Amino acid sequence: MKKGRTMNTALLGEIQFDEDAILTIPEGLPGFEHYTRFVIVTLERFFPFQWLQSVEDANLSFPIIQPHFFCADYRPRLSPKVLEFLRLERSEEAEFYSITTIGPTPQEVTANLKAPLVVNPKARLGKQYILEGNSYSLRHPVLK
Amino acid sequence: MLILTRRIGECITIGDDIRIKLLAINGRQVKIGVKAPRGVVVHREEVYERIVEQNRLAAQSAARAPVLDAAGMMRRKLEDEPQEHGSYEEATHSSH
Repeated sequence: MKKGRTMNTALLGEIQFDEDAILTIPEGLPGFEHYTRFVIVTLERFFPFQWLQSVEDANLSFPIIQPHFFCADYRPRLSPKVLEFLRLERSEEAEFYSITTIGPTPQEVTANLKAPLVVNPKARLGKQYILEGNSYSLRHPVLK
Repeated sequence: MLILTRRIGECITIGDDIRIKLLAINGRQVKIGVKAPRGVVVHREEVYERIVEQNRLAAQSAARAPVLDAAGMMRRKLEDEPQEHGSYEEATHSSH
């Protein structure tokens, strides 16, 4: 039986989720290492953006977006070490999300393609993985 | 800070399982090899710091109105080029 939870978040109001929807990021995110449990909140009015909402701190959330919406050929290669960490067999099984910075105007919305949040959707396990090399930007404009 | 002098090919060990080897020197550049257990994250400091900064900005910039505006603009853009984004319809309806 699924165990439902309700949480009153600062930004999104009351959200409901099942315990088994919780995404565990064992190392946390750089700068936010103490927060390891999140839910990805999908609300139609924000589409194609979603929210990475901490279930440990109602005030902590990050706007995220799947990179394929603005960068059709984004297929980063994951190292064997990361695949093992996320308990994935192949890179193709992973879901990618970019953490998004919202500037004062919509034109200044940028996504971090250099360090995507990589998720194993089945195991609900994630890691913000810093890609080697210089092919991707930390501040890729989303609306260009 | 502990300061050690090493020659090319020599190592420093930290604890039982971290090994740092000086591989090569080329002018002002030094090539270093790091051997560490799986759980230990190793990065060039400046890259890591920039990720931290971006994450902090993202958390601070999480305000509803600008994201709603950006989402509206993004949807209009996607509607202009729907053939490239096959999962558009599907993703609209997936929610937790």
